[in-house]
Amino acid sequence: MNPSLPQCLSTFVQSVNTHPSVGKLLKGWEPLLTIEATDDGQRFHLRVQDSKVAEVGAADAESSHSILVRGESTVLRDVFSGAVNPAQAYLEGNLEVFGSDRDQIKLDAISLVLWGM
Amino acid sequence: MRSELSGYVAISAGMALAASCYAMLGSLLGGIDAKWIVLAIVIAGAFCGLVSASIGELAAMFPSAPGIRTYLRAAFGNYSSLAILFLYLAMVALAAGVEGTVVTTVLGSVVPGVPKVLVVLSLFLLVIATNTLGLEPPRTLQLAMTVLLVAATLFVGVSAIWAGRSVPELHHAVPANAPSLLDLAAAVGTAIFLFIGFEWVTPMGRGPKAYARLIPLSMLAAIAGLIVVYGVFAAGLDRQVDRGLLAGNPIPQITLGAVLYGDTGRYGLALVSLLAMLTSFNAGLMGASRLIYGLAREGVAPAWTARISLRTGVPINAVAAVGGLSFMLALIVIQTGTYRLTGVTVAAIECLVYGALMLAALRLRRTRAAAARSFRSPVPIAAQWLIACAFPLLAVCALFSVPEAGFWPIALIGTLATGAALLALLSVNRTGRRTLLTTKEGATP
Repeated sequence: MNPSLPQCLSTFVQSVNTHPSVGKLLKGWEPLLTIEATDDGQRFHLRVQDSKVAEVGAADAESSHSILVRGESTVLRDVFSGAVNPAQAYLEGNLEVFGSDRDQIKLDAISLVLWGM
Repeated sequence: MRSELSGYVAISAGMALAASCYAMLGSLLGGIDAKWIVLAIVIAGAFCGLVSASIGELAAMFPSAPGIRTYLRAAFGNYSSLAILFLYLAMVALAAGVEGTVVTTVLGSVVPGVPKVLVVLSLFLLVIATNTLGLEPPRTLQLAMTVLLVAATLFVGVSAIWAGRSVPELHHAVPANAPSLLDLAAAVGTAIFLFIGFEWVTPMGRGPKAYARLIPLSMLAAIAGLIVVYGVFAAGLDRQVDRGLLAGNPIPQITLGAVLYGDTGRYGLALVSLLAMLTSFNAGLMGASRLIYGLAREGVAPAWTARISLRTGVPINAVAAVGGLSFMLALIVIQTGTYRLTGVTVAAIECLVYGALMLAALRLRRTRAAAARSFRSPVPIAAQWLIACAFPLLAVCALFSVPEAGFWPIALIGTLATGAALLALLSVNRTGRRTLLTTKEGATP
């Protein structure tokens, strides 16, 4: 059975925090990521702080530097589990990323470092 | 909401308002009477306004997507999309070449004797270094810079009109003939150059809601503002500077500044030109390098162009590649003195791209009729078809608008289009082969 979106996100957070190179990528970059499934309305928040990622509840989801990542839950699941190249999903319009150019590339780079794709 | 809209308008207008626009205005005014040029600017702006509605619809279908690549791929498939994208990237590099010529000439006029190569190298290095270090001006500064540019251009234009005609009509070296329909069409096609880049705001929406109203509205507002700015400046230029001095003059704004305010005007307009160059070239370099990075991540562009700085998140090799290519083209344009030829070629390519974007929106209405669109172009379908078909005609007319260039613009665009088509074919075959291999090996899904 395929893991659910929350399970994929938890695994993603673990992978990011234990990977030896991703920390360098996150250094000095502290946005709040909001992940929103467009089909079933699920919303999750990840805070990047001190080169680590942590899941936070909706109550703590406030930041002057926020990025919104949107897509259907299957797309989000595939992207955050490394099954799909996020750059490809973004190009095809299946994944929407609302943030600066730098934010978008940083996010893409995380997948590149984690999964080499 | 108002500040968000003004931010988008500033990005859209700031991209279009480049130093080379003054040169193209001078070039246009060199052959035809100002009132016809103002009409050509209004018509070109109206065409861009109609295209902006189609682009707004495409952006609403694919919010935050990397613009032209996503839209054209969804409508026409991978090959056509890549061919047009490569032509578009060539256009960006050529536009940087024209921009380099203008700014080099501007600096040469205020600091005589300074080596051109050194000037263009320093400016390009400054912009490339700023980009590579990930230094982005805050949005408020971007807004302030665009407002300053618009205000300065308007101020000079209005002053020139207000000051009364210093060049009596009878003394204009070039007669103010009414243009033929073909001449007017060529002027409209060339005037498209003045609006290039307004569409680069589409990937920059702060959220999905921005695409329902603010992004389409911002493009329209930017185009309307630019029509006024260019129209006023063109009328002022014609009133104060002899037409004979405009046609081959890449820095008519400096000439006008000197006529109006002497050295203060020259230096002031030189600063404005530098500011225009830095904002538009910086944004162009950023946008084009992100497109190259995206292509590299797809496996289309060489893998080395996907290398990023871990600290800043900047695709450093893509920035260096686009900057280097633009620098080389700037040197070629400067050394050969072909900024007008290059300018009309750039305008013609943009006409073709705008036509393709309108066709893309029309095609997607058929092929993805049920897809969600938070904004739909209010332009009637028949009018959209008409405008989409008119753009290639404007492109052809623009290509013949510089008589002394002969068939060179046609040769240049033909070469670039052929190169783009071949490169796209190569890329499709390469990525297709790679997908086949990885699927066989089970390496990637």
